[in-house]
Amino acid sequence: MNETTVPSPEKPAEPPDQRRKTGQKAGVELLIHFHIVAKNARLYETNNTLFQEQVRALFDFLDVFFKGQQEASFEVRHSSLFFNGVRLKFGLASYPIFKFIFEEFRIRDIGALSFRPGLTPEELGRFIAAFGKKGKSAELPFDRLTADLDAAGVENVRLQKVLDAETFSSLHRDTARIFFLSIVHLKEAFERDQKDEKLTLNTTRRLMQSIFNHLVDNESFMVGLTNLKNFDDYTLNHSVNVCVLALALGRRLGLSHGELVDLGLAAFFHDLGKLDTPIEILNKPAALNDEERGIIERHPHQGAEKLLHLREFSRLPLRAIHVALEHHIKEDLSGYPRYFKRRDINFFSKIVKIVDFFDAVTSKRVYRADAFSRAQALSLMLENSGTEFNSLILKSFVHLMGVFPIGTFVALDTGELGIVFDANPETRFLLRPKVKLITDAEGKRIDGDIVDLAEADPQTGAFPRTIVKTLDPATYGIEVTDYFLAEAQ
Amino acid sequence: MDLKTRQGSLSSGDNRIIDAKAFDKAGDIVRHMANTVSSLKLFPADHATVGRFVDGLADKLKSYLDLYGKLEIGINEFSFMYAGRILYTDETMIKSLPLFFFKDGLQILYFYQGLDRTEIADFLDIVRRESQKPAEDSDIVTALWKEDFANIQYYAPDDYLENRIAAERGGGEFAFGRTSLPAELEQEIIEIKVDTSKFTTGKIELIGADREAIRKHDVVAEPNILNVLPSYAEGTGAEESSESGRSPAASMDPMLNDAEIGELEELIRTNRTIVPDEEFLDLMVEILFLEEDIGHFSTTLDLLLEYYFDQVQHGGFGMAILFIEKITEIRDHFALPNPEKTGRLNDFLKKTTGAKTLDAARQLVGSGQPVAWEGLTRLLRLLGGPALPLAADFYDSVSDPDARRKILDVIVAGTSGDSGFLIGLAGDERPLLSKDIIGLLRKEKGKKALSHFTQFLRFRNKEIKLAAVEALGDFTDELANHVLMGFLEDGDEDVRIQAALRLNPVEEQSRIRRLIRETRSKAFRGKSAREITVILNYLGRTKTPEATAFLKKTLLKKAFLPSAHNLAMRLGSVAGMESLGTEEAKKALESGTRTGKKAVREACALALARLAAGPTGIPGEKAS
Ligand SMILES: [Fe+2]
Ligand SMILES: [Fe+2]
Repeated sequence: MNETTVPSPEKPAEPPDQRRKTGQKAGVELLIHFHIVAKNARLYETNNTLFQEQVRALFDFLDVFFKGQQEASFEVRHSSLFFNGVRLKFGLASYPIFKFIFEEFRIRDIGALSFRPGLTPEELGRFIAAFGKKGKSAELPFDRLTADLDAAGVENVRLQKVLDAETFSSLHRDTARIFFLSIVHLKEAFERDQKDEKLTLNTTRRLMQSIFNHLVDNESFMVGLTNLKNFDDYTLNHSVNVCVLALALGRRLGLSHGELVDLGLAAFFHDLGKLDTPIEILNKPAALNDEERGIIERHPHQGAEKLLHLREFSRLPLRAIHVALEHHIKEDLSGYPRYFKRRDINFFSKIVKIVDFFDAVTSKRVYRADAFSRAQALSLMLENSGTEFNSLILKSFVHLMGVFPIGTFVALDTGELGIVFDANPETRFLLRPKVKLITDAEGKRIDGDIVDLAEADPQTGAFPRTIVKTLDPATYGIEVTDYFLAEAQ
Repeated sequence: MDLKTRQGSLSSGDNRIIDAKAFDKAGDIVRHMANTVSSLKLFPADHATVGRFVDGLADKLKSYLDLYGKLEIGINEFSFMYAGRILYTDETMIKSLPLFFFKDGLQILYFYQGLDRTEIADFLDIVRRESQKPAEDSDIVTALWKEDFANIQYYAPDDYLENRIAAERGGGEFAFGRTSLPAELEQEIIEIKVDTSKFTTGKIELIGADREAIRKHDVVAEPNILNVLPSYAEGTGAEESSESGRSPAASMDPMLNDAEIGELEELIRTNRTIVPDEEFLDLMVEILFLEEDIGHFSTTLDLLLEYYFDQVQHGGFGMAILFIEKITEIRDHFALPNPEKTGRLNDFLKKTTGAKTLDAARQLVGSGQPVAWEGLTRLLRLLGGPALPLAADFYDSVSDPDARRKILDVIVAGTSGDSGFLIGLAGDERPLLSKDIIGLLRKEKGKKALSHFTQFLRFRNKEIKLAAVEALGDFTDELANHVLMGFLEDGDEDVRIQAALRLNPVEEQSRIRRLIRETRSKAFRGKSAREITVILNYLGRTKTPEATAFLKKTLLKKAFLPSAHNLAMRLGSVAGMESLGTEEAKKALESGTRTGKKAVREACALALARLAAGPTGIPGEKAS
């Protein structure tokens, strides 16, 4: 089978809104079936009964669908997924499926995939088998797959290679540039605020879009960069981390673009009030006394006031004021400040509270020699789920970060040491992320490969590498972020 | 793909093969788009001209996309490009559409098959909105991003953002489309340098505790995390079949069950329905509450005051009320502990309820814009006495009966039973309100209200005076008569007649004597037959001997020189006699049937006939 251009499908005579609704529903259902089948193709032999049942279910769905439609086609355009020309929207629940499909398409350079009437259950089975087969890394994935499909005589499933124009996916270098530009821009904003100059919020808004786009294209790397702490200035680096993590979490929660811009902006400026906190108190290398604590605890209020005075001129989102004021108020309304009348905390504040806490306790400060590891931080936060943090948002955040969050320093059962670079999208492999090897089995430092711990030996079915312990990088003098930044050079 | 090379391929010559037909069609589309945008700036969106332009554009795009699937328009400073060739150029700084996109760093626009009229109209609307904003507020890329169109995509590379951030940082002028950073900024900003040689130098020896933990297979992962990841175990894939009862989508996400997803979605939905103004005010109150510095406290209050007046000026009366209520609440809270803050809050409240608010409301109503009367009347009610004259002015100027009812309620509540105050709001220039105030007082029938009716004697508006006279007729009171007598002096005959008709036959000699005296005056000779009739009729109704004598004399009086006035007087006295209705009156009427004047004879006969038939009300006139 060769690359084909997808011809324009017959347009049904439905009104556009109706078409969108039925397209969305059918598209998501088909994706779920395809997701199950594609996922299991790697685990089972093709003659496995459960697997065959799942292929049959996919076939039955398509069979019914073809009674009204000429084809069932998925297409990726600008990070959106289209089904028969209708863009599919994902929400909180369907996010993992979308992530899975994007990943499957991306690694195979697939731009579009379409099922055609005439497809038989056997042909579909052959397609799935070829699709699920792991290739050698040297091969061009798309060319290998199309060759395999041709060999298997698959005619009624067609693939289209991703177009050059669609591969705008950023390189690590671009992602890192945006990360550091964010720090520069925030520094500029802080300085302008100190000089009573106007902030350039339109630029900040554009920055939020770029961060988001890089999260879409390169989430694990961007999240990996948030392991960077105290770059230039703690609050600057921290604020950018909080912004990146809030956007990543907001994306998982299915927020709209408009909401994400506001959320990002709010997170970006959440600690603006710290500009009014004396630096000696911020960086005091010992426990704070009551008076000093009182001064620190004023920063939410001070930040909110600063933003308030900006509001009129630049149409700052109101929720940025919420977030500045509320990001230290706990779910049970304790914490600080104490409200006069209000009895609820804004949704965005709840999101920022979680990522803010996470970034803060995983940072080493002059007054805190031992920062929590990312996993320890999540564990600690889960202990206060429902009282300090909103339990549902926290759960979603834990899901985003994973059991071994990106940047975790780990020991493997082979004796090798490595750094978690990417989570595995499949939930059964939560303990098997992708790991960058930094030593060999003897502990000799190497600039090793990124290995997928979910990859089993094809002969024995056993996993060659398994995590046996998380380690504190500081103990061993490892700068985790150096390994990410090196990828961006 | 490297950014720089991608850019290069956009701006420099392109060796793509150009389909001449597609090129022409694309040119037609962008020209039509530019014209459509121009029309949108001239006419309102629902104007027929705009509609035709949008229809045309939607048709052209559809026809193109049905044929080619996708339209890609490159954007240069003043030109639209197609496959590397110039498609359209407009070099005018103000209205150039390519420049409008270009200035915000937009480099390519993509239109895809599936685009419909609604989406294209929304797109055009965004273009119109952004192009009408002041330059510093407008950003077409952000606007497009927020809208997140399904079939319109764009490419705006990060280079633009980098330049902008660098330019702001460097304090320099930011140039559109500049692609490289000044060297020193490039250094400062984004040189990512990691010494990777250390990656391959040395050895890591695990410390004893870590070695021991690994040997003992201590905890590998945080148990708390594993607890909330129910399907973390490397299972057999059986979860799909075992999770019946959950939605297919939820089964993909082991973190949250259906109920939790529902709950989270509800949180998101609620967050979308926040009323920004209310929420803002709420936050402001909290910020004020938390403020310790009196200087900041005042600054924030000033800001709030500006916001308050902005609300009033734009008709946000509901919000304005909330402002006053909430500030009152916080003032009451501070009353004891902080006199300084209380003072500032009181100043604030004084300003919010002062003349500026009234002026703003007056201006808004005067501008003819639609007004939220529910809110405005609530605000006026809250402002109390000082707002009543304004409410009174509004009353006559609005045509909506519901709004009028609300205003009247405000006025009644504001004057709280003080009829003098209420009548004080009446005036010649407020006829509707004046009449309705009279109506209210008429229902009340209180003596206190009556005492203020003399005010109407000074009015010029006939309608109002007639209403006052009519109301006075309902009062069986000496005082009402006194005011009605006043109306007998009115410049308008209708008013005088209606007043005379409503005079109560209360026995009061001086008044009757005065009236009789006046009948001989020169002024009285100028009155119409009708007015004369109602006055003499009234005299009859008083049934006093003095009036009886006067009427009898007038009826039977023979004039040496017959005149119209004389006849009118005689006919009037017939009506008076009929009202009198006594034996003496009947006798006089009988005598009248024998007088020389035919009209008088007939009138007397009719009056007698009516008297014989029984009482029928005031003869000769019916109260109007
Ligand atoms: Fe903070
Ligand atoms: Fe913070």
